Amino acid sequence: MSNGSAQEAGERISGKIRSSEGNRRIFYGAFLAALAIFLAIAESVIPKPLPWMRIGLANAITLYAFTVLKPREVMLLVLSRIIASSLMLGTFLSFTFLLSLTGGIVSFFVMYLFYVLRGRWLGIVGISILGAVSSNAAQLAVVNGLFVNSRLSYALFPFLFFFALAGGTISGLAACFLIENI
Amino acid sequence: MKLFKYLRPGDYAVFSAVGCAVIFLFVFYFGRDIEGRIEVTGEGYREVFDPAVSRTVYVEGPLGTNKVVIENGAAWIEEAPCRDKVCIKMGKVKRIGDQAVCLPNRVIVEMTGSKPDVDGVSR
Repeated sequence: MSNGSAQEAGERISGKIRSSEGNRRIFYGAFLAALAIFLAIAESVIPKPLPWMRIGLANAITLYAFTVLKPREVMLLVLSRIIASSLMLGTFLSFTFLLSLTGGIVSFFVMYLFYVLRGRWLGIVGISILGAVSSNAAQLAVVNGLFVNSRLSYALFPFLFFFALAGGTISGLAACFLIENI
Repeated sequence: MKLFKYLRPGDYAVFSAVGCAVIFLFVFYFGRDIEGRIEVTGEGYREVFDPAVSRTVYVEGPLGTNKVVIENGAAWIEEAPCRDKVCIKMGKVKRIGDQAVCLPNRVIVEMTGSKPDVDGVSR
């Protein structure tokens, strides 16, 4: 289930989460959400000229969650992370919030789809990159649809994909590290 | 980097695919030459020209005739029947979005296209 190496040695917490039920499971989910929120807020310190010029470290938690939680719970994780971090950052219900939300929801479905279909050929990093790309692309589509400024929007495409690639790789590697060592 | 053992073939495939897309998009949007088109609009008249082809266009309007010269990827109004000759002073239309307009004679010369560029330049 995890990304390729021996499952006995490092999976203490992962095993506990997978086998947990009820309140304990809620606790684990909330704990992961708190981690993701922390990462999201820590990341917000980095200056971002535009919304999607970010590394998306919180997605590492999301990817890790795919290996220990049920899909429904992962969706809950994503939603609560986005809502909570926007509340804490003061962007709740703002335009940025809507962008994050659409990016998060779209990337969740894309990552879930590829996680299910991955087989032996695709690993976590690839899924992470795909998730990052689809998140940024969805955000750009929203911006393009709501504020038609097609010339400038299309000019941002290359940068968008570049940041998605970089951020996706980094958070994917982080997720791999989590999966193997927790 | 000992993280490399976690990478599968699919990861490399996705990475290179997106990487190629990035390079392609950069080249596509920032590596193009003159590909805008000169659009000349008069009263009841509109025609589009290739900026690379040098030619002179005479546009009729209520006041008279504007002489529009297209040369070397730029266009400008050389002669105009208006009083102030603002259109002539507007200079060359070179980048997408640039315009030279003779309001009294209802003539517009502009560079149109879809290459992303600055939205406007204040002069």
